[in-house]
Amino acid sequence: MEFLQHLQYAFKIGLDPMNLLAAFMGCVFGTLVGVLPGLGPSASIALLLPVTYYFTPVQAIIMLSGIYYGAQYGGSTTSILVNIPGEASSVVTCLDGYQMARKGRAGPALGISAFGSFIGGTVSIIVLMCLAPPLARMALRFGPPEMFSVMFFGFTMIIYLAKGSMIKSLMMAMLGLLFGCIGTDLFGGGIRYTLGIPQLTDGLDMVQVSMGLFGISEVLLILEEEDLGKKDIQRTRMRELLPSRQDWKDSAKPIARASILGSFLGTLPGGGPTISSFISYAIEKRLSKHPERFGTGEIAGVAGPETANNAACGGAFVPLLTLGIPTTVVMAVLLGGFMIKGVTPGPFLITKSPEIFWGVVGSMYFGNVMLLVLNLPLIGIWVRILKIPYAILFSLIFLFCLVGSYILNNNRTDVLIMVTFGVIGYLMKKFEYPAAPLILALILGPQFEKYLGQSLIMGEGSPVIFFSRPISSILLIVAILLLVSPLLLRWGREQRSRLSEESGDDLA
Amino acid sequence: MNRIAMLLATVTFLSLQFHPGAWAQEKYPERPVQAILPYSPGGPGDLTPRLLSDFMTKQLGQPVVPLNKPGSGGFIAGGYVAAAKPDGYTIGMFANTQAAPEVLAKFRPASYSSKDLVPAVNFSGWLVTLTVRADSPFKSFKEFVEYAKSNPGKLRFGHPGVGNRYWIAGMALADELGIKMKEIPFNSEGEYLTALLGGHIDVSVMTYGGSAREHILAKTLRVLCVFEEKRIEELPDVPTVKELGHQSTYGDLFIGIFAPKGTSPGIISRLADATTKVIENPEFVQGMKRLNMPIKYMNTKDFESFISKDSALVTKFLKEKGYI
Repeated sequence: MEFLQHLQYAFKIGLDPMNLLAAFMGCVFGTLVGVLPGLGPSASIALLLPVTYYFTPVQAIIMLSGIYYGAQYGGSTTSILVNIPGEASSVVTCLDGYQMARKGRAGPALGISAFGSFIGGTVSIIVLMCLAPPLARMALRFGPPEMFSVMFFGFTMIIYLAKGSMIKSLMMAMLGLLFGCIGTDLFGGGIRYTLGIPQLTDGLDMVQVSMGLFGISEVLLILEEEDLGKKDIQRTRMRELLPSRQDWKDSAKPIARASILGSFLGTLPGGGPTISSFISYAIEKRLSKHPERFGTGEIAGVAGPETANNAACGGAFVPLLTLGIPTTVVMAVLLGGFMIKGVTPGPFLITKSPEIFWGVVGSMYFGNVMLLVLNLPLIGIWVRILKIPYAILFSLIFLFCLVGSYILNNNRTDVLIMVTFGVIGYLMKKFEYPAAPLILALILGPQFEKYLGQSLIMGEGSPVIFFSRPISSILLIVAILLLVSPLLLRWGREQRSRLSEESGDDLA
Repeated sequence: MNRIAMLLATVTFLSLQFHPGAWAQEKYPERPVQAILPYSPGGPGDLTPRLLSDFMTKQLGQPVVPLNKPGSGGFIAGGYVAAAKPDGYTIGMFANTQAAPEVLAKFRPASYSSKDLVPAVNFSGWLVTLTVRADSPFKSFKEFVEYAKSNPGKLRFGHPGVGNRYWIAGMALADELGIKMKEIPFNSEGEYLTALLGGHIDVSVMTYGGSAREHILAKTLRVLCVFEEKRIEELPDVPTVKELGHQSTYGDLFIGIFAPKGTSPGIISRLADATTKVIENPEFVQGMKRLNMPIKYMNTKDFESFISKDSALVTKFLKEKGYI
């Protein structure tokens, strides 16, 4: 009953005309930001912080939040259309989304992405509304050993990102791990592999790397083609604009799974949309009846990740609004937005400033609806982009990448880093080395090391700590089982076939 | 652009340099001033300089525009200001670490040293506390020290990284007390705040501000002592390190305005005077209250001597402990 009361309150605030307007502005801007490679939600929220001076706290926070989850809607657009992720959380969408576009199925890809995002976002809001405080408490129980096990689990998922040669994927994962070593050693304070470049002291930035590895490399690849003034991506005729019934059937379960997965993963520190999208992809591939189709344009590979990253947005609000803890860089900027308006989230927020908590929650409902309504008609416009000749399209993309990589930290070296990875990515594409494992390893590696070190200090050098805590040991055991299950299955099959051979001989 | 256009542009530009106003320091500033911020947008270390920039704009009559250049613990921003033209149009809003990067040279090289910067004035800082969970068995500083002494190496101390001032403050105090703890590094205060709340660490050095303050007021966290000269207003019952009989004041952190070496004293005093006036503005005081950041003022001379004393102290500590 209290739930309905809260819901009513939330809707009342959400439906306030000024709040709706703020949400709309945030969503539109967020979508734009998500579509443009490079300009991410954290940079744009930071840019808009001064603008919020003229808004009331509730309106300001609604708008800034709108940018955050709006960007997750827009990020998939360029992933699907031109194989360039708009956000780090849309990297996985490139794998199958782009292939769908090449087969003339960009419309359904964009459509299922929009619907999935909507469902994921809405589910996470419901979770936020009903379970925020207990979820936050549960998230607190994830200390370094538990997070290590989550990272361990995440690493085993790399296998499922493999396309083609497994050796090549593992090589790229190792390379990603090595790249992840660049930066400051948390435990000794020393600097590693920065080649004297101060911008590398904090390690490689995910934005520069993914823009280079996917965006710049694509631009370089396209340069090899002829007739750039006339050619466009649309190799086959556009068949439909919206997902078909079969598409929906194939996507239903992935979307359901991803919604729950994202909502919970988002509450964990460093969890966020990116890791959720990777893990969702891996899970869908694992559970699919046709895993070999992943990477060729399988819609579950788009539906899952896109739903997960939006669900993770809602999930990330749980620790922020109940404990005042930002789980990712973007949430930290959002936190700054709160504080500028004199609202500091913490244990008091729900009770002292309920209009903020329920206002954000309520407006998120409407924000998600607005985004769905915004994005669906846009599909028709986006697919026209596929008709723009390469020469113009990719020149623009190149420009956006250059600007986007500079704007992040107002730093020229970041642009150079992006271009370097562009060259690396180009070579990888030519020799067919997959980029997704590299990115996942680059994201997980430093965190893996951090949690390992912290846990070992806590456990005084003994790895027993990972198994003496329930959550951590469960995760590790599941991960290990997942790793060895193919081996066990094969061993089981061999045994069975040997047995049947023997019995067959007897019968004969 | 053809050569004639370039020539005309150059001549025009050069002639403008001979305008009488170009060298008159009383007219500073004549165009927007860039304030370089060493942190990513959003944190209290970013919001406070932004607030000051807003008010300085009104005071100086020209926009003071904040620009974030995060990275390398603020050394990138520091290096940028140190290398900028000393005409007063590039200033930095820095803390202790960025003011004297050579102290941490062994951990993290910087492209400049404290000699390349001129301090103008200090206007804020961080309030540093020693914090535990409210449900921990230590109800007071004394109980904490007793437990730590009788259980060496058991307590888990969370900190934002070796070399960070918060780590230094905590370690120096531990050293003075003669206690040993497990030191667990984290990437940010948000991370170890989470770890403390979740019971994965037992004690840490926390900023009194932002979300940590909310928890302290909500009584989910308890402050054992503060690393300040005076007690914090909102925590009247919490003793300072000095009152407890300890000398460790490595927690004295500032946020001040700096300019590149060679900036004229006239411009420096203009900045200092403007800041002094801003600090007296009740609206600014209100704004700082809303951000829960303190106003800590030091004029140019005091600021200069504080910086050299502070970095000497820290360098001595790090040397004695064998970190550098």
